[in-house]
Amino acid sequence: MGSDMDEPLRAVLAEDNLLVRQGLCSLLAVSGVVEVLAACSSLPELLEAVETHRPDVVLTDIRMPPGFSDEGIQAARLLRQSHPDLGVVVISQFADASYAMAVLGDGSSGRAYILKDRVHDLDRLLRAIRAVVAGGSFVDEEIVDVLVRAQGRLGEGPTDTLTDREREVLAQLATGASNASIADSLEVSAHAVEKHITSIFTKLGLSGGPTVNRRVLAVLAHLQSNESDNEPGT
Amino acid sequence: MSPAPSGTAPDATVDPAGPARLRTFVLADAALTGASVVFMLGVWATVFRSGWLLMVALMVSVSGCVMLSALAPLRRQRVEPAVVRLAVANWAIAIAATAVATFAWPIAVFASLLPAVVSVPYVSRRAFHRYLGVSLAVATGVVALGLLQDVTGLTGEAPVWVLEAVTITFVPGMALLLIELSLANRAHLQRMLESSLAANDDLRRSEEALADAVDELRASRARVVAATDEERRRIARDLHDGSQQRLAALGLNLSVVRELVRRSPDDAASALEELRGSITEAQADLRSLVHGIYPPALTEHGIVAALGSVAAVDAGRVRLVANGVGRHPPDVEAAVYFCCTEALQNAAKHAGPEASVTVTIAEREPGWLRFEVEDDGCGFDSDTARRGAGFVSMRDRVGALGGDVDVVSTPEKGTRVRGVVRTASPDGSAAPAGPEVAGAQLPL
Repeated sequence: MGSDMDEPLRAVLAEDNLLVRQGLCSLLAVSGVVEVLAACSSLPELLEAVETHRPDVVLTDIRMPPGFSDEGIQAARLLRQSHPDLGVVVISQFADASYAMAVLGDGSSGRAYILKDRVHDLDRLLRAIRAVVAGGSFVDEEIVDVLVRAQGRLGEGPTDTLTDREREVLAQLATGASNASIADSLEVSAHAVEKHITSIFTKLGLSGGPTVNRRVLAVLAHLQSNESDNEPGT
Repeated sequence: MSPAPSGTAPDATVDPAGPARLRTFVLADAALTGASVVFMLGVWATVFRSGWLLMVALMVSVSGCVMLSALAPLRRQRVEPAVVRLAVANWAIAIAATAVATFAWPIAVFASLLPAVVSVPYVSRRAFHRYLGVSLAVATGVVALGLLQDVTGLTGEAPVWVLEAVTITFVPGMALLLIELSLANRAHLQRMLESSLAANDDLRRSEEALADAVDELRASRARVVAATDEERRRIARDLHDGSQQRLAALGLNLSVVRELVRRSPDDAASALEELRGSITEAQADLRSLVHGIYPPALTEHGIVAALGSVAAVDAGRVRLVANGVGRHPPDVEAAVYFCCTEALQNAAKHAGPEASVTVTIAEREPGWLRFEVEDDGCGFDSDTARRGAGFVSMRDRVGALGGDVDVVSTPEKGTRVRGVVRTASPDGSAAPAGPEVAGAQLPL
């Protein structure tokens, strides 16, 4: 399911706050890339709208009626079963690694996790949307930052052994960036990036050379498992 | 009053009746002694002239004087010297009398035991044992003197009716005296026990009252902590649901404008205008949130200004009377402000749309700030009002400042919340003891 750049991507939106919902609709509308078919404010509404409109992508908040707990994450899981090719971008108020893991845990393909603070960044938003429509994944680098910092605070964990540069590469890796784009944004050579990645994977004990999806998942899984080792009851 | 430990004398002043009782006894004893001297002289004069009789009379008289001298320390409220003199006098009489008139030994036994019985309420346990010991020794000696010797021969010489008369008169008399003394001692002990038990009861009641007060304080403290946490949660929720979402939406709309700038500048301009409106709304939102948390007017200008602006919002219904009220310490102003606003909210919720409300603040007594919120609405049951969470938190706030608050409500008539808090006087001195709030006429 490739994305046809001339035809707008069809999206269904779920956000319970009126102002944010309207703003997001406006932004997507004005982008010319995404067409919002329905804007919902609860989980049941969202699932119904997906059935009715058959969108290419769903953008959803996490906390919504009816329960105001993790409805967005439930949606991502349910849609994995009912619409396996449908991409879901989860927008969260909090840089919570356990939420990120819940979204990506049962397969990271077609899933993205971005922060509400950054949702107005149209470029990033479109990147996330395109990634999931293409079956890839995207994770806000802030999440990775949070995890890495949490590791450092607790003093334990192999990410301690990473250099600052390697941490930057790791953060970029988690956003699903390719080696080339990492090299661009860090202003180093592609060769240097490969060396860093190999070093990271070695230090973290991950197998090398997986696809982008698996890289993201592997990194997150590793960081998350370390975090839950050190922080009981996360 | 607990029983005195051995070695220390009970305080005679604790039982103020003590010296007086002893004085009465000394006089009675002396009277009896005097009567016996008179009797002996009478017998000598009329019936039986014996030099020994005169000698006995003399010795008894001397002892009687010693007995009377016990009155002197009693006048100064000192019982122990009096007891000593009384004891010595009685023992002397017992020994002397029996030495001379051996037939008198039964009477003398009573007389020698007298000091031990008398001393019970007046001396320490150790001293009492000494008195007891000497009394028993004297009593034994007296029996021996009476039965085993007859130096003077008086017993043989005197007419039998004299011997009988003396014995029949004095033995029951002495016995009665001893019994009366024992009963008096018992009554004395009973009184001491009762006052001790009463003191115990008082102590236990005080302890219970204290325990209750501690429990209430603990509960109040827990309530205050819980209220603080609840406030924090509320503020976090308000900020999250309000300002955070508004800012997210603003960010989105700014991004929209950025795109519009490229594609359709006219639309961009009108979108920016809308955004300005959103920002104004967001500011108003935050302002009222801040006001709800802690009004800047309260910090800057005090109770009157802060309550004034609250009243002004609903000027047709709410009236503020606060003549001459100045500034007070921040915790006092906060307590009065939040109590009044809580009461106003309750009035708005329950008093009915026709009701009018008057808020009165007054500084009638130095060191005390009074407040009252009164409405003429539909009222409700006072006890229900007092149990409400809002009123309980008012009481906690006000109580923490050493004040009091009460609510009185009459169905169909209205509701009145009245309170007073302790505040620092302008010269910083503490307030005098608290005026009554509940039920008292509030002079405003």
